[in-house]
Amino acid sequence: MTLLEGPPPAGDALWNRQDFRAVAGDALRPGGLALTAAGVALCRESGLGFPCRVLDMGCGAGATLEWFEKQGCTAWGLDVAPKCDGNAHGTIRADAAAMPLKDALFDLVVCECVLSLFSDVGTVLEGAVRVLEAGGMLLCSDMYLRGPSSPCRADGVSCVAGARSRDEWEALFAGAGLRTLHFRDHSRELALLAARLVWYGISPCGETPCDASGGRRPVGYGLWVARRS
Amino acid sequence: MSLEPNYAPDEAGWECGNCHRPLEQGKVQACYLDAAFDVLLPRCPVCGLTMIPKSLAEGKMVEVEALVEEK
Amino acid sequence: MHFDQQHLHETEARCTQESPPQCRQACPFSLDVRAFMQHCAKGDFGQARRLLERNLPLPDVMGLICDHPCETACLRRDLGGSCAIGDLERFCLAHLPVQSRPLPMPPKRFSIAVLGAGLAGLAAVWNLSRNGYPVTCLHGGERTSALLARHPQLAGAKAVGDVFEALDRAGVKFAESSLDEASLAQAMESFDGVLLDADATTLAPRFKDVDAATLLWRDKCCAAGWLETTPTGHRYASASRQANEGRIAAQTLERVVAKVSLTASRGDTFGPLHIDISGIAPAPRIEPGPEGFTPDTARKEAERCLECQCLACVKACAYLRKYQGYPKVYTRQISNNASIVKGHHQANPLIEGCCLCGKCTELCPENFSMADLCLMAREDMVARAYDPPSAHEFAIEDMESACGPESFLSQPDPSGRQRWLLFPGCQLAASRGAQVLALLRHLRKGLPGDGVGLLLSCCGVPAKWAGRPNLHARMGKRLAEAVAAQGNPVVLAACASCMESLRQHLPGTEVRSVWETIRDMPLPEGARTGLPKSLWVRDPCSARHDAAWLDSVRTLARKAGVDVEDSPSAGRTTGCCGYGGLVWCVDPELADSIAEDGLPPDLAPEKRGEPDARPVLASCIMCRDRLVAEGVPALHLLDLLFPGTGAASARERGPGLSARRAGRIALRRAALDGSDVPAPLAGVPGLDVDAALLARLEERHILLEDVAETVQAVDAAGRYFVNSVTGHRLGSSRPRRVTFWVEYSPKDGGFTVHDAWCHRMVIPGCGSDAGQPWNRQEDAP
Repeated sequence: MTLLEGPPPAGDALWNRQDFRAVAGDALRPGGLALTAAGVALCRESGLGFPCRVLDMGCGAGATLEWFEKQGCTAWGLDVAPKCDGNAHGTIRADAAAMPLKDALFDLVVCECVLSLFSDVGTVLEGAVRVLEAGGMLLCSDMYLRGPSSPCRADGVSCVAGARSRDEWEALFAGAGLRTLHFRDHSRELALLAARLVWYGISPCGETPCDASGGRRPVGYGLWVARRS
Repeated sequence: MSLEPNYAPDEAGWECGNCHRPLEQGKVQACYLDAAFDVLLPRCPVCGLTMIPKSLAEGKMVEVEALVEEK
Repeated sequence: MHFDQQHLHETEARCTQESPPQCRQACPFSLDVRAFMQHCAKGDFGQARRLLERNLPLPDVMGLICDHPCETACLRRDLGGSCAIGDLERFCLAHLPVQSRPLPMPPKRFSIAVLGAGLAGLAAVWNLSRNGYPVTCLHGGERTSALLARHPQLAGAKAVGDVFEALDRAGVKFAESSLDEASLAQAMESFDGVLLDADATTLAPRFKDVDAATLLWRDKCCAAGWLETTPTGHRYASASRQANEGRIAAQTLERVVAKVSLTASRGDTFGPLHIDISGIAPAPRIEPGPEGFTPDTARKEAERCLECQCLACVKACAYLRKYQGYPKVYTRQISNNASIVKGHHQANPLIEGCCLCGKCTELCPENFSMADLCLMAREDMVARAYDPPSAHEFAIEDMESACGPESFLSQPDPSGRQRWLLFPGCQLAASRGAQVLALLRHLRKGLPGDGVGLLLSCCGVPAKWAGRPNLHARMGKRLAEAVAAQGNPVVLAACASCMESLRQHLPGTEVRSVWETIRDMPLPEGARTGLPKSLWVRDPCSARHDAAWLDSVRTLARKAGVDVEDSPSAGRTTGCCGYGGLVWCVDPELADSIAEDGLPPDLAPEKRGEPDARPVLASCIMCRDRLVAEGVPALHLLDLLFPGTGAASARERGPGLSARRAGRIALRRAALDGSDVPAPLAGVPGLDVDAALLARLEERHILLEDVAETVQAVDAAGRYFVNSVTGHRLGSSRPRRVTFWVEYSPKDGGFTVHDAWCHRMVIPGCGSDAGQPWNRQEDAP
């Protein structure tokens, strides 16, 4: 239920590794800031007032927070090991499954490639909903399993262990009281991410999500906008 | 903190044939299709002539080109 | 959108690999008999028993009385005797305890009455109670009487008592009843669903009065469990059928009470699974002793199971094996790939790895065609611009060069007569220029007065294979013009892939193989003493349906004094050498393993180097050259006809990529000059490249002409690095979509090349974009 703390066990999933998350920051998240911008545009199309109060769950190095701040938003970040050096409005060291925040504080909650780290996503989403104003929005981007080919879930440890199908994600959102407004496929970002990982020498243990041949591991990357009902 | 790979020439002794200056590592952007990558490469400080060492071309580059192409 | 969902469904359906084998199709419960046998063969009897518990109602009783139609259908029946599936089931049921606990289900609020405790009724009771329905079973006399009357072999069996105890524990109510109209009326009043056991009560209607699929009679009442009648009128009970009817009727009642569709999603129908049993040795059935099987004999008998699968194509093709699936799965993956608009295409290697040779289509009983599927996918990729640029680029550029000004030639017969036109194809021109000219002379001699022209060009098939039909058509147009300008002769092709392409480009022109034209002519003069006595014939994949080609090759070989025998890769089911579909360009390793399929055992890797290994006879130069590159001795048919003009031996390697370019250019020049033997330049004049370096360059598809162009451009402009230690120079250029780097030194008016490499990424300051002033401040890390 919690993000891992302390040194990761041997053979830990890439996305769980704090060294990766600390170093990666914006440059290596699938889609980068361009994807965040695209997601925010979709939110605004659906009625999100802007600038707004935003929480970035899993803010890491704070690149997303910085981006929001530059646009005039009040941005808060939450991470189990934040690595911001005082640029963002405020960063909280806390566990996303038990956020020490009051109810209805934010108009927008952003989860970029972070929910797949959790096995109990429901609890995390409920927390997100709690801190959202009524009618507030969730912007989520994450890996998802696609296609009818056999979902080849690796034995728990690989990068795609937290990837669910699109239906599963949307059911999780619904279960927490979030209505999916938009879905966009951005799976090309995974291919580009795999390329960047190789280029910058961050080697994932086991296969990268894009390592499939013949489509055996049909992992995609999706962007969702959901509204708290 | 910079992440980009730093590729010095595979052997010592290279300099710019035109300007006769020793080479310095400079940051450039390598592009392929819709992706761009930062890298430090040997360059002539005067004319900008840039070297791609064989170890880079036949190593990371070919691997990353295939990933970007989804080959 | 090239991909049509309907078409894809039909395509997918052709592959029968997922169809159940005969045993499962025959089993009314659709038990996965193959899996059951696999568990037993491994000694996993617990797993095997679990399978029975999951799929059979009252498994301990069923095991004792089942009439096992699976055994009747088993394909081992003509290969030593059907597998003893029934005895194996009895072994598992008798020797192991119950493996699975039924999950406690929340009790449903709909109650069901079953009238008659025969096998069908009890099967229904079993399933319904396991699904949580309150069930009342009304029976005449003792509750075991109906079952034992029909299946007397159960008398005294412990399993019977166990079943009833289990039902009691599950809360099933049993009540003795007169089973008359009054009790039926009562049941219809008090229960939400009613089942009549046709073998245990006269209340049931006849089979023809119920709905055959759902067994619904009327309102909320089903019936099940009738007897069968033989053609001679004898009545008997099929235990499997009766119990299954009970199961079906129970399912129907569940839907009736829940008020959902009675028919939706109730079991798929499958086509037959095709299995090739030729070549399987009979093995006698192992009968259990009087006490039944032992674990040891059970395993041995279970090992006799053929584990029926189709996989006919997969077994014969290295490409299909590489991706560890089979055509049905590949269809889904490829159609999924195509449905991705801007996403991540993971099936690209699968799409690019097919040689498009058609062997699988020949082997598949339903004629599934990977070639059609992959070609359609490639065309779709190109049309929507997500094809990986580097995949086919070299092959397309090579094709364009073969049609370029230095290689293309349309040369009519000097006499002015224009009955025939020789089209050797770009590979033969590249590799065997002298033989092309010898063949042309031979044709003119054998067809005096007719006029034989020459057309040197690529036929354009690489464009087709790359999924570029527009480019293919443009090339075809040019060829059509050249052919028309030569008076629309009959085109004689020396390459089977060319023939396919030419026929598409030239619908009004007759295109035939050159072999059938020379077959009946006297052989060209020349001693044939050095030829091998006998050869393995390997036919080109594009000629698999061309009877005239196949026959002419063999006839000509025999005329030349050589004995020929079909290799496994011959005739209709011949395979590709890896050249087809441009696989050599995209995945060279896969192309090599595709070539290995269909080699005779005496040319296996450890044997092919032997001095007396029997060589292969190919009628396609790519087959020949690619086999020799893997150490297999091989000759081209032209080596038999014109000895001394082509390969000096069956092991002499074909020319590399650069030499092929030079070969075409030299052939064209020789044809124009009227000389007999083209003199291709071994390299580029003034450029010194040693053999080892050349071999490395060829592997990376770096041509000498690109190296030469780079050196010349770089040296002339002074745009190079200099090494103060070695004195070497290093520079780059980017003529098209690849940047070439060459490390060289000037020497004697020319250049010595030390090394060369290439990449596709674009970086400022190299390639053609060099020498921009650089602002150090901006670039500081």
